[in-house]
This record gives sequence, structure tokens and C-alpha cells, in this order.
Amino acid sequence: MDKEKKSIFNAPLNMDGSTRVTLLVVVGGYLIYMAYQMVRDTLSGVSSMGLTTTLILAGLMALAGIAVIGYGVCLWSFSRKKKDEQKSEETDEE
Amino acid sequence: MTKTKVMNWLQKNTMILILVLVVLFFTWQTQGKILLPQNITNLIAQNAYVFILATGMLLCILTGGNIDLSVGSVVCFAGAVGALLMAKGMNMWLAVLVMLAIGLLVGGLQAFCIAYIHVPPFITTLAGQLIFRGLSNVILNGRTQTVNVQMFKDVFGGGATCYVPDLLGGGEGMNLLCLVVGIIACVIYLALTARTRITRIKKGYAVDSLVSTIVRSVVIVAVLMFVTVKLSQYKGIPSALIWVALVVAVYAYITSKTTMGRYLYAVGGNEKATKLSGIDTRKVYFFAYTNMGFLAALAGILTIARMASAQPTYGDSYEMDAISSCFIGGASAYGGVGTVPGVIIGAVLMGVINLGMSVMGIDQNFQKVVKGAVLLAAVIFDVISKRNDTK
Repeated sequence: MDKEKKSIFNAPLNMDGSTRVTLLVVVGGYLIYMAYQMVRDTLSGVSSMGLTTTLILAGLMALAGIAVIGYGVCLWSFSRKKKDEQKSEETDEE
Repeated sequence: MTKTKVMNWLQKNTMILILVLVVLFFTWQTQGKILLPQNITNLIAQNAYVFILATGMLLCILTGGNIDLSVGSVVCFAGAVGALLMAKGMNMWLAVLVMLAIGLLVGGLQAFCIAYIHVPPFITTLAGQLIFRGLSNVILNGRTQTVNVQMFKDVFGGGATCYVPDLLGGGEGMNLLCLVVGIIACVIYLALTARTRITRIKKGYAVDSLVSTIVRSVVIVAVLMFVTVKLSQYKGIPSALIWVALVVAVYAYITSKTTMGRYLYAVGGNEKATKLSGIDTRKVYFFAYTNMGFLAALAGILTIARMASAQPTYGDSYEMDAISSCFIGGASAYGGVGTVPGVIIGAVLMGVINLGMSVMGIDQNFQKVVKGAVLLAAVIFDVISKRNDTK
């Protein structure tokens, strides 16, 4: 049997697979929401952070959130692909 | 071999070690102010709602990655109803029962939609979030409703007198009852740890090394006694802590020692296999979400007691605090995604970071950056540890 190439997308999801994907998507969304809150607070004067600093940090946070969501979605689609492959293998064996 | 044992021990107790490091960091940065008795009391009182909501959220997550986005809105709604009823002269205990009943009803309705009508939990609870936030605005008419019942505030953790009175008559600056309770808690913990270990050895299960168990027990007892002494130097046991301890103890027991607890893990592990084993998975989902509604109402009671008022903005982002605690607490190898102690440690870590930054006077936006960085670190740690598991 060929050794599967190990990557961050091949990690077996096992018991907590759907848990991880959901949490990753939610955490990513929260990071994006916090980035929005930062910009809102600076513009409304609640925070004393400079606008440029806020935009840079919020931008980085939003990018991180998008990356986390993207990772979660890729993880889910990889696991679905694997499940479909396993199903078709089982069908072939029958 | 010794190096592997040390690495295994470090991996298992990563979150505790990180918590200790964070506390030491903020102790250094704030010149010890974060460890002042008043700040430790504030840490408990201000984060009581997170501990309770995170415990309930854990049960939902155990069913297979499902979350409840409505908890913040339910906190606000239940609190608003309770505040209005008490303002109209209703007996405090009756108002509390009404609030808990509202939580059960809301949780039950959502649970029914999820378990029996099969509406995805994300959609059901998102709808709940919008509905109950709107209803809170409607019944409060956009205004703040104050809570003036002193006994309510004392019992549920609000105001300057919300502490268990020192019935043992300790002197000024040392609450004797608090000390005694702390010592009893340590003794109970050690007894339970020893009993669990002995039982597991008798049944032939694998156990950690004796040294590892002793070290962990000593650290936990030291932390417990430190917190106890600090609390006793201020005003004693805050009432919010009693509610948190009760919830944590009950749900730690449910998740680890009861059939329903096992069913929660089973459904999350493999729902089809669980169904084929004859377990009604709908009842498991129903229990998880109804329970979440109940705990959200309890968190609402603690919130309005602490703030001595109900506002339409209360509960904002509470669900994210709970989910973050579950994620951070479960991102290490300490019990995985599904233990109450792991979730509590996650909540304490977030609470310590928030408190430390407030004491340091850090700008709110920087606090959000740090919070985001901690979450991101937990995600990266999770990714790396899962990747290592495949090797």
C-alpha cells in the first residue's frame, strides 16, 4: 500500500472531526468580527489606537480569520473526499 | 524513556503550564497587582458567566461539533424578564424560577427543532439569537431596568455584600470560613484522586506514574490554597463562586459518571453506530440543548445580579467567550475537546488575560489583538498536534 503523503489536510478527523471543523469556522468568524469591532471602536473614539495601526492589525486579524475558515473548509472537503473514496472501495469489494 | 515520559507529561498538562506562565507574566508586568485579593475576586465574579456557559456549550459540542449561538441573547432575555418581574414586586425566588423556566422553555423549543425536526443547530440557534435579542429590546423598550432587590444581589453575586458571611468568626483580614472550605476542598480533591487511582489499578487500567500524579496534585492543591488565602484576605467566598463550583461539579459528574454523559460522547463519536446500538440520539440532542438554555438562564441571573440591572446589550458575544474557552481548553492533549476541567482552564486563561490587560491599562483594541492571537495560537497548536498524530 502506498504511503499517503502527510500534510495538515490529511490528519485523521476521527471522533472530533466535525467538532474541529465547526469550531475552526466559528473561531475564524470571531477573528473577523473582532477585526470589525476594532475598526468600529477606533472610528467612534472608544479606542485611542491610531487609525493606521488599527487598520493594519485589524487587516491581519481578518486575514488570519479567513485563513482559519479556509483551513476548516479544506479539512471538511478532504474528509468528505476520503469518505466517498472509502464508500466506493467498499462498493467495489461487494 | 524518561525523556518520553516528561514529554508525554508536558503534552498532557500543556494548558495548565500555559496558565501558570501567563499568570507569572502578568504578575511581573503588573508588579503583583493581578494577584491582589480584590483582583482574584473580580476574576471569579466577572467570569462566572463564562464558566457556566462554557460548561453547557461543551455538552452541545460533544454531540458532534454543534454549537449554540443563542446563549448570549437568552442571557439577556431571561435577565430582562427577571429584572422586570422583580421591579413589579414579584418575590425574588419566584422570579428566579421564572427565569430558569424561560431558559428551559427556550432551550427546549430549540432542542425540539434540532432533535425532532432536524433543523441544523447552527440555523436554529442563529434564529434564536436574533429572536431573543429582539424580544429583549421589545420588553425593555430599549431602556435599562435596575435591580434593587438586595438579597437577590447578595445571593447571586452582585454588589459589595455578595459574599458568604464568616460564620466561624475570623478576625479582620482573614475569613476563617473561606480558609476552612478551601482546606476541605483540597482534602476532597486528594481523596478523589487517590480513590480513582486505586480503583483504576485494581481494575487493571493504565494509570499515570505515581510521580506525575503527585506533582499534578501538589500543583493543584497549591493553586487552590493560594486562591483560598487570597479570597479570605478580602471578603471571603463570593456567591458567584458557589454557583460556578456547583455547576462545574454537577456537570463534571454528568459527563464522566452517568449514562447520559457517555451517550453525549457516543453521539459525537459516531452517531450512526450509537443509533444502531439502540440509543435514541434525538433524546441526547434534546438534553444537550435544553440544558444549554437552562444554564444560559442561570448565567443571566448572575449577570443581572452583578450589574444590578438589565440592559438590551447584555450577553453580547457571550457565546463566543464560551466557544473560545471550549476551544482553548480542548486544544491541548489535556482530555481532548471534551472535558469540563479543560474547558474551565480555557475560561480561566481567557479571564486572566483580560484581567491582566485591564490592570495594565492596555487599550481595548490591543486587548482584542491579544485575544485574537491567543485563539490563533490555539488553532495552530491544534493543527500541529493533529499533524503529529498522523506520524
